[in-house]
Amino acid sequence: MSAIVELTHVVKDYPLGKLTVRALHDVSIAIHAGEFTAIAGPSGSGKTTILNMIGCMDVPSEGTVRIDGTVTNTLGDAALTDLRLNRIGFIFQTFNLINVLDVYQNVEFPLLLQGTLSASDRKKRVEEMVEKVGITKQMRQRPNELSGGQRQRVAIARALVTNPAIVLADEPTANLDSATGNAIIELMRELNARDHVTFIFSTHDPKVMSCATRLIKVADGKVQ
Amino acid sequence: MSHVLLMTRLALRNVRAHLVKNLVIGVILAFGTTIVVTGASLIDSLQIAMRKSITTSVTADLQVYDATARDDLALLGDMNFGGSDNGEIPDYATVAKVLAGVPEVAAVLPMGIGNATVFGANELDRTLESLRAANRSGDSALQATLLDRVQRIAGDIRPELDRLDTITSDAEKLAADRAALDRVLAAGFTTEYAADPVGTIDWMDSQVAPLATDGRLAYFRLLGTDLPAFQKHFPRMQISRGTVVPDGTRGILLNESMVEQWLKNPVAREFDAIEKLIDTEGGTIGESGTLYDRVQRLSRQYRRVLYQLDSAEAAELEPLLRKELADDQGDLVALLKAFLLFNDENFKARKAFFYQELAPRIRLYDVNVGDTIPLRAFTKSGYLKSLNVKVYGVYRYTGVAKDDSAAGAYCLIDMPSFRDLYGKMTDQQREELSAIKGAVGAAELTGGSIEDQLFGGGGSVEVEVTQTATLESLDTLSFGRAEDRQQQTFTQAQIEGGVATNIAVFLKDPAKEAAGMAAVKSALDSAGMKLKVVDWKSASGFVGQAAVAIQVVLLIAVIVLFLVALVTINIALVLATLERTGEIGTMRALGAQRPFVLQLIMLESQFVGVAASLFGAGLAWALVGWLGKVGVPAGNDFLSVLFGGKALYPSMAPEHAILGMVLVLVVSFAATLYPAVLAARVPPIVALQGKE
Repeated sequence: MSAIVELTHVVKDYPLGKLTVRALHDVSIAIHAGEFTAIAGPSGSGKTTILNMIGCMDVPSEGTVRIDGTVTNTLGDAALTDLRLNRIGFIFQTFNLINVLDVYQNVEFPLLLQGTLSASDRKKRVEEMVEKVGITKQMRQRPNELSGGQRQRVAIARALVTNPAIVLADEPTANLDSATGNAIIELMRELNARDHVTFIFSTHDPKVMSCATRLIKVADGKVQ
Repeated sequence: MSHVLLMTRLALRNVRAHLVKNLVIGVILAFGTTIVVTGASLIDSLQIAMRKSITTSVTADLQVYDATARDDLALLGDMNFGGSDNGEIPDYATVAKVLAGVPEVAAVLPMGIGNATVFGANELDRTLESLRAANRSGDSALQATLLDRVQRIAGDIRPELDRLDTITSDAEKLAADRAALDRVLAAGFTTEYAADPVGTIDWMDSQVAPLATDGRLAYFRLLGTDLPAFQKHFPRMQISRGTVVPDGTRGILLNESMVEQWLKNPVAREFDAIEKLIDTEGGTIGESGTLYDRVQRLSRQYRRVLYQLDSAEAAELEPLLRKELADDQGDLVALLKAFLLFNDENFKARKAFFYQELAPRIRLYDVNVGDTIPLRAFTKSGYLKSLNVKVYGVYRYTGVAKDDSAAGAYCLIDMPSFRDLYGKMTDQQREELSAIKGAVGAAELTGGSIEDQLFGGGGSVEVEVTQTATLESLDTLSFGRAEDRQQQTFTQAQIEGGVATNIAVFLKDPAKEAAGMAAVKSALDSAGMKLKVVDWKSASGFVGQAAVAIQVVLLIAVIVLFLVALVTINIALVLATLERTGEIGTMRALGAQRPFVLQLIMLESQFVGVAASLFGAGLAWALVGWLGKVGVPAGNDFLSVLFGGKALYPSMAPEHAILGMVLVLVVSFAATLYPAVLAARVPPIVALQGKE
């Protein structure tokens, strides 16, 4: 079975004034469909950089990044954006919901960007996802009317609504209390187990790490 | 389609979410729209009013004049103060024939622009002239009254001569002047007059009359034309006093505003002017330095009334003035001085008293309908020409807007009289001159032997004399005799055949001015005539250019306003964009392309722009509607011409609103472009940097 995410000898350098800082040193990772992968490591270890590469928000200085069979190194902004829209779902540490839209509209957002579903199919899909994450009652509420846990559930629904190949979660429980964090991880696990959604999340929380089916440890820009 | 839905939803929600910022931007844009729409409405209304005012009173739609003229035609005045050289059209009839063949032309009218002066005699001159007439007719009672008026004027001048003692350099003349006045004031003067009335009047004419205040010199701006045709084509022109000039005769029609301004008794005129200043500018005599000074000066003008009163009138007036002033002291002079020294409280009453009691007893206008006035003008050859012309009436313009207006204070004169003053002879005059030359045996001196011909022995002048004229024989010739010239009548061919300075052209469709102008120009060029064709704006001179100047000023104001708005909105939006990088980064991370972000920001500002411009246009509509009801007061004569009346009543057309709204949307678009590009450049990675 081929990997859905494949990083091969990836090096990432950032210019810092006259100096160049190497954030990743020859990183090679392969993640397969259906895995529930945690990328763990202390702050500054390079886990966010790896997520950026996988999330098509950045391209490597050296090496190759292949997402669902597509090499991203040479893609332009528009193609990378398309790749993000159609193949990747995002869950952010700070939820990143659009405050002017209600729950339903936030979840509907990526579908409207895709523009492929009819209005009725779109409605059916959104309602299905909202139900799946357990926030049907809050569907017409704005993000500022929701709790942290509820907001992250909306973010998960939004990430999954387009049926992406991968869902990237950047420290998904960092801004939540432990009970809510556990519930969110539980939900992600459930979706992974039931719908075979591939989850890749960064964390430095040992409790969260223990829930992962695969753990990639990163330190000083290297995979250990 | 889903993109449009999403973008519209987001844009509307964002506009509401950033209410304060958008309100600030909206207010700026709405203010800009109001200014532009109101300004455009005012300018258009001004242009329409100006066009009506000017084209229907003097310029017509187009004007034709000499292409080689030194100066541009400026029918409503220029900076040459009447000294413009607009060239000449040697034969109006020939040009009129060409213009009549142009399909776009409805009518043409000859015009001759010129200036003339009328020297008004002083009150003593007038009284002596009346005295002479009374003596001729043998009216003793009138002679006594007029002699009394002469003595009263002399009595008023006499103390002034005493004050000249210290400043005169000609003591001998001063002594002679005093002696002359003393002789008039002496008890036996009436007896002296009775013994030799003509000799006494002659003596007073030469010795006493020059001591009185100078008469006034009135300037007339003349417009020679075919008078019946002028009235037909400029129907706003109405005779307010007197009659029209009978067809084919000499005569002049005075312009009412010119009469009021230049020919009215200065005291009456000043009463009118002060009232106008108080009413239009809201000034008070107590507070306005200008008004206070005018009242002070007016009280020194009492002679303008006093000199016109005879003893009986003075006797009637004195008790009335005492009653009005509640004053038992002082003579008529003191009473008149006090009467003219009014204040805010008693001004209206004094003015009413003046017109009720004083005006009927004096000559209110220097020139009245029915008078024959001696017009004097410098001809084009440079010599002074004088012509007596009867005043048939006074005219004014009516009906441009809700008020009356007058564009150009021309006195209308018949074309032959204009040509006489202009210095061009008609065929008839040329024939008469030839007859006179024949009668007196005049011969033309030519060539290099003029001296020989004049003074040399056996010169040709003496040889060629074939007839010797007597003074009696010259009487049979009419040329040069004022009385005969006044009685002359003219045929239409004589009115049209001859020189004109310019031609008014009326188009069948004034809305197609450019096409009409091109057709007229083409016809004149084809006929080989070196004539210039100008539109009414150009022909009216700097007054016509005022609309252009106002447009330029407004345009500059709008540009400045919009630049300020553009910069302000730009800064506000850049700051707002910087605050929204997290939201924009999230959208980008979720799959929104750069153009989507750019269009979203642009759409947001266009929503604000549309709402603000609609509001601004609505405000302008209300403002212009209100101004259209109450009017924008003209305040002065210049603005009266521009406004086509005493006030401008603007109206707003849909295109004004469209213009304002489009301009505001363009400004809003331009101001948003840079912030929108900045937003589109926000990288998706920002979403992972902890910003929400």
